[in-house]
Order: sequence, then structure tokens, then C-alpha cells
Amino acid sequence: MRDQETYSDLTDLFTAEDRALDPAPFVNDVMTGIRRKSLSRRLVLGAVGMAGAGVAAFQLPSLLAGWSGLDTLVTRTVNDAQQDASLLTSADPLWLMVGGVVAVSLLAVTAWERA
Amino acid sequence: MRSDPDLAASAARGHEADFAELVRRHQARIRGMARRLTGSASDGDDIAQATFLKAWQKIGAYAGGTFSAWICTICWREYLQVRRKQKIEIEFDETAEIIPFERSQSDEVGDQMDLTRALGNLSEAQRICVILCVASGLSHREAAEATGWPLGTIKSHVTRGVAALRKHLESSHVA
Repeated sequence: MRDQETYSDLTDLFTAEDRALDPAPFVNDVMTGIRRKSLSRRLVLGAVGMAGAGVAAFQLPSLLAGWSGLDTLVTRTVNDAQQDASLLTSADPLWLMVGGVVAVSLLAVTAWERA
Repeated sequence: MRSDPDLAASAARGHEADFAELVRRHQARIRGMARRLTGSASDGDDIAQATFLKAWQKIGAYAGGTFSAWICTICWREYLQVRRKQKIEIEFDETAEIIPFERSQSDEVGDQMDLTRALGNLSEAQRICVILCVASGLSHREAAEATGWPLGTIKSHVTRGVAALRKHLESSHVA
């Protein structure tokens, strides 16, 4: 800092020279450039977004068909699992006891952790 | 009056009017710096404009501190990019030759001041250090961070550059 104080008179001369520059046209040019850039950015993003939406719209029917298939598959799997579980318990009631012990253990652990 | 970091934070949220205020505050320093680095009013203003456009893009990365140092660093990098396109390497040698500017007649109109002529007589490295530290008001450390040059090198170039500048100014006043 001490070094910089030794040339503050020169800094003042340079600053006075810079202050003589008219700011208005320059600021206007910069801000016009910024607005033009953000406008073109918005246009490009909008165009790309619209193109993407168009492609997605074309793919929508097959996408929905895929989802319907998945829905059917999930429903069928749940039904099968329920049937398997009922068969298992009717075949051997011991599984019900195992399930009960596991549930009680889980409750105990949860209660212990919360305490 | 709102502080620079406050305006920068607002500009980062997309408020163009606040960025315009920052441009208004710092345009003189940046235009002066770019004009002196290039030695041309039109080339300097082009670099200054590119500086503020880059600053607008990167305003979210401004992490506080001296805004003028941040914007001067961007200006310095823009200037280096232009120089790289012209394939001119900056000579760091103490005994570097004085690189004359290519000036058009219209640019010379406003360049008749003693200061500008005195700057033109410095070596390239001295001229850069004087422009950054003396004319643009960066601290030695800020100039070292902006340029990537060692702090000691900056200090020595500034000291010698200032001495040469004074000598030239004195002799021109005597004459």
C-alpha cells in the first residue's frame, strides 16, 4: 500500500483522463449487446424446446402403450404374490409364526431406536 | 448508494438495470485500461465491451471482493485472447524491446496527451504493470493474481515504470 501511495498523483492523472470518456453510448452498446444475446439465447432454447416437445408428442402413443403394459404386469405380479402367500400359509402355518416374530422384532428395534 | 457486490448479486438474479449501473460505474476504468493496453481507442472499446459481456455471463461466479479487480482481470484475459489471435507473445524480459502500437489516424486524435506518449516509451512488461497498478488502480497482489506473474516481478516493473514515466513527463514539461 505504501508503494501505491507513492504514485497516487499519476493515478489521479490517469483517472482524470478516463473520466473524460462519455459513458452513455458505451453503456448503451453494452446493454444492447446483452439484450440481443439473451434474446437469441431465448429463441434458441425455445426452438430446441419446441422441437423436443414435438418429438415427445410423436412418441407419446408408444410411451402410453408401454405404461399400460407395465401397469398390467405390476397388477398381475401383485395378484400372483398374494396367491402364493395364501397358498404358503395354508400349506404350512409355521410361516405365519415366522412372519409374526419378524414383525415383533422389527417393532422392538424401532421402539429401542426411538427411545 | 448501493454497493458493487449488492448490484452484482442483483444482476446475477437477472436484473439488467443493476448490471447497467455496474457498467456505468466501471466503464471509465475498463475502457481506459483496454485503450492503454491496445494503444487504440476503437480496439480498446471493443475489448471493454467484450469484457462487460463476459462479466454479464459470469456474474454468478463473482464471489465478493473488489469488483474493480474482478472486472479488470476479465479485461486482461480478453486482451490476452485478442493478442493470441494476433499471435504476439508478451515479453517478460527486463530488457524487452519497446513494442510500438499500430495506430490509425482517428485513434491518434485523442492520444496526444503526455501520459499516453510516456506510456508508449516503456517496455512492454513495464507498460502492462503500470497500466494495471497505476492507471487502473489494482493493488500489486491483484495485478499478480490477474496476470499470473510473480508479485516481485510486478513490483519491480511498476517501480521502474513509474520512474521512467516521471522522467519522461518531467522532460516533456521542461521542453
